[in-house]
Amino acid sequence: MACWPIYKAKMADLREPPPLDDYSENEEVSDMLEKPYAKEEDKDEEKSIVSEPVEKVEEPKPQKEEVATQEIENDVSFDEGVAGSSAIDVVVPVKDVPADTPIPAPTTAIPLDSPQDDDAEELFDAASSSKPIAPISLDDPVDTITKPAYLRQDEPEPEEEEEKHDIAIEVSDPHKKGEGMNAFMSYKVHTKTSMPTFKRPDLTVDRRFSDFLGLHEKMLAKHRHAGRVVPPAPEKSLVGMTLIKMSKSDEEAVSIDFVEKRRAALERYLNRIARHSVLVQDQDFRDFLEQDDLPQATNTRALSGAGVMRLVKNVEGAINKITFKMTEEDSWFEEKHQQIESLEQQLIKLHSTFDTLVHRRKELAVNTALFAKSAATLGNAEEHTALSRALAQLSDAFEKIESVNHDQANTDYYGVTEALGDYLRIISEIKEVFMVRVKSWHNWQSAVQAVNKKKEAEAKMRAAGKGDKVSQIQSDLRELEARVETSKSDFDELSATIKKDIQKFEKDRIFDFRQLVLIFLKNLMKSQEQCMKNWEAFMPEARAIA
Amino acid sequence: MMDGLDDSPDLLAEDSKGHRSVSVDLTDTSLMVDISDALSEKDKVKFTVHTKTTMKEFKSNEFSVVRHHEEFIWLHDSYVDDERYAGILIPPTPARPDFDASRDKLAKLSEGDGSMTKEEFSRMKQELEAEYLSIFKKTVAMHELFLSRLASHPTLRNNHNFRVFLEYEKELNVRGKNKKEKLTGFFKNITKSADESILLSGQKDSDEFFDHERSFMGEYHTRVKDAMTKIDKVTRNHKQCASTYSNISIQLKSLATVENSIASSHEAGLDRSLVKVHECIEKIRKLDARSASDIDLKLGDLLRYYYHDAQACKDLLYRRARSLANYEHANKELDRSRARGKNVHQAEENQKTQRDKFESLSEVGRKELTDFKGRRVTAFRKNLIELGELQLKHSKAMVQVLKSCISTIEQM
Repeated sequence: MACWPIYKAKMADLREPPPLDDYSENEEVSDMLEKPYAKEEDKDEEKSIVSEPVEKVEEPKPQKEEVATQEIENDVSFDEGVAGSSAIDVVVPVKDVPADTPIPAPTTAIPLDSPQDDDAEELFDAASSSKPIAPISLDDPVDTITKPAYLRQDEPEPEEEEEKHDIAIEVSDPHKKGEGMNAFMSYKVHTKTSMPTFKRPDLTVDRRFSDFLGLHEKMLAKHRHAGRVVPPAPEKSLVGMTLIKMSKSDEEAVSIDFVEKRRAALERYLNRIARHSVLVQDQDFRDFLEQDDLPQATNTRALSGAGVMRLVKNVEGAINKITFKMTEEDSWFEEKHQQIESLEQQLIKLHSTFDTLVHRRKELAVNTALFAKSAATLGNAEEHTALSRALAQLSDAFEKIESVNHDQANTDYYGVTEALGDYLRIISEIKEVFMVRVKSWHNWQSAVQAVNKKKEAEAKMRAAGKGDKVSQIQSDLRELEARVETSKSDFDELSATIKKDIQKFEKDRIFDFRQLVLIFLKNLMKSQEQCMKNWEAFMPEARAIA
Repeated sequence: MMDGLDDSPDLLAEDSKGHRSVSVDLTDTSLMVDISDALSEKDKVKFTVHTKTTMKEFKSNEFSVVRHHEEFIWLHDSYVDDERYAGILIPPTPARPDFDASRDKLAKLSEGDGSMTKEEFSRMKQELEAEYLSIFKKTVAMHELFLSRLASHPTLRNNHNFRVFLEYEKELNVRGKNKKEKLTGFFKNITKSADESILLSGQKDSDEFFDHERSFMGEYHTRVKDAMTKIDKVTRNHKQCASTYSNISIQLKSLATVENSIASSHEAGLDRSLVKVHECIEKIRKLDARSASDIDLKLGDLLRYYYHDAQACKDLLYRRARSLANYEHANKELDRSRARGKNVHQAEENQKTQRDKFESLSEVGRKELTDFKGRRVTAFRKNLIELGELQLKHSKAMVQVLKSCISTIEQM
């Protein structure tokens, strides 16, 4: 816990400038600061539930700012501060924030208001502020599913977030371009948004798969090292591409299963970026959605390269994990590490089981269709008229069951298996980000060691009575100490960003998983309801056999 | 909402009746045979055959003997080989008890697979035991059905061997066929099928009824066999799907444990939701598995039985065709004898017996085949209605379980 007290102390220092320092419940605020770390202890008590409304009450207070650094994802200004070091051209909504102060005093303005103040000149101000509760267009793929109660509890938070994130992206109309080996699939990317950072509220561009990969590369390069969890892009598929290249016509290419699978994956990918409060502001992302002509992505991997690269990366990661052992001083990260690990294990199992289910159900559909045919021919052979009719009806019933099974296999695939696959890839990205943090920690530690060495050298010099060299060493030391400071604050910033992104990830995941099980259950129910109808239609014919 | 959940165990409750997929009319109570008990030993099943009778031919009114599968086969073959029953449909032999598959699986399971958790293991074991039990029950039911049909048949019930089978307390000492017998049986089958195809194609039948039956049975036999193999595949796939649900349910539970350790998930109640889903899927699995086994029982077994019965019909038609050929041959012989003026009397005698045989066979056969049709229609009607009702019941139960689970989760 050597790291954490310093971190806390820093936060405490920062708390002094705001005018409301004498706020009577200051004690509680600092308690709340510790909340993420203390969650384990009080998770079963009511306290945690109670603390949420308290938080809301405090929202207009400046203290909120400190809480926000750890807990609230929508505080863009803080995030930009962190990103500032990476020299990216990002439009910062809060314009007068000095880039080097992560938690500047001016932002003590109520977070709810801050975007609106800045948006005043913007065209879409009216649109965005006139929406008291923005529709959850992104987070609600199935309209029939009602918003879970847990989201309703803390209304102000998502509301604010949605206002900023009012963007829905649709990938549609896959079409084949080019001929032979140069053929590729192109998709229409249609964006609807009221976000002021976009040129128009309605954007349509044509993009091919490698453009998506290009975007992903850029996003990774910019954001991963800053500790942000960049949504992983769909993987290249050699088989799928070959099928497309071999297909004769456009229609034929579009009808390939893989195309729809990829289209859906691309759509999920873009919407995941859009859901991220920082990534959605990224220039490259906006260019991707806005610009008619995108410079061709040059460094996207060759067909099978993705797999190889991943392998190389994995090996690299494994080696890094061995070489970069980090003494974890932050219990939050320690815990998350473990949770992510066990979550991954569990999801891998679940993913493959759902995959099996889909396969088996498809097989079942095929065999059901075959039986339906056999039942029909048996019905033809049957000489008893009523029985023959009943058998024909039986064949009909099984034919319908076949389509029920087929549909269910598909909906399970797109609704569940693919979503789980996405999450598995996000988790491996999170692990990458964890590695980034470990590396940053090593930077800091080596800086500390360098300082220690210098100090020893200085002591030696002093002992040796070589006073002339001491001043040189001391100036070196100052430099090195400054490096320790920056690398430490880099590490702290990184840790904070990761923490924030993981909290966002957790929140998104809770929502997505709830949707996922609901989709699964609802599909199942729909299938069974159809089966019911089906057998009900069969009964009169069976009873008519005399 | 809770009512829905409370009701479901009722829906899940085992329906004990209806294990027998094909029933026999048992209004005549003078001879009633059932299998009161069965014991599965290492490589054979011992059936306790229990008889209740008012017929004077038996020494007492009620008795039980222990029989095993080979003895059933012997009984069946003794009927088939007996010329007196040539015109009668001999009930098909019950299938050999086949526990090898599930026993193998059980053995593999007990050897232990390290990758399995304790819970998965016990679940698998339960499933296998259930599977074993259902095969066992089915085997017993089929053996019982075989005996019941014999007992209720006005002619077949009077067979001496049958009485011995029912009454003789010691082992009948029938052995399984040895290699030589199997080989001769094989050749017999080949000659029979060759004979059949030649006879059936070359023979002119003046009798329209049999002519029609012959073409119908040939067709029906192939189609019912086809339907049978297809429905077996369907139920097998269906059962696989159901068992995948079981895996999903287990994994959802472990996922719930993981979620429980993640503070934000726990606060949002994701762990509790997943436990609910786990419980729900578990119920769905049971219902879906039952739905699959009911299709097997009501449709698969029906088709299987009528496939074998159609085979018996074909055999009967073959025997008649054979007899007709014999009769025609005797006619020719008689003509020849008359032309030569030699052995006329003997030829006449022979021709007369062949004709009598053929005529009585035809007469009995006609009745048997007509009965078969009636029996078939009744059985199909009964089973198809039951099939529809059971499928409807299971689907309704599943919808109910799902509905309550969805609303619970949505309210959480």
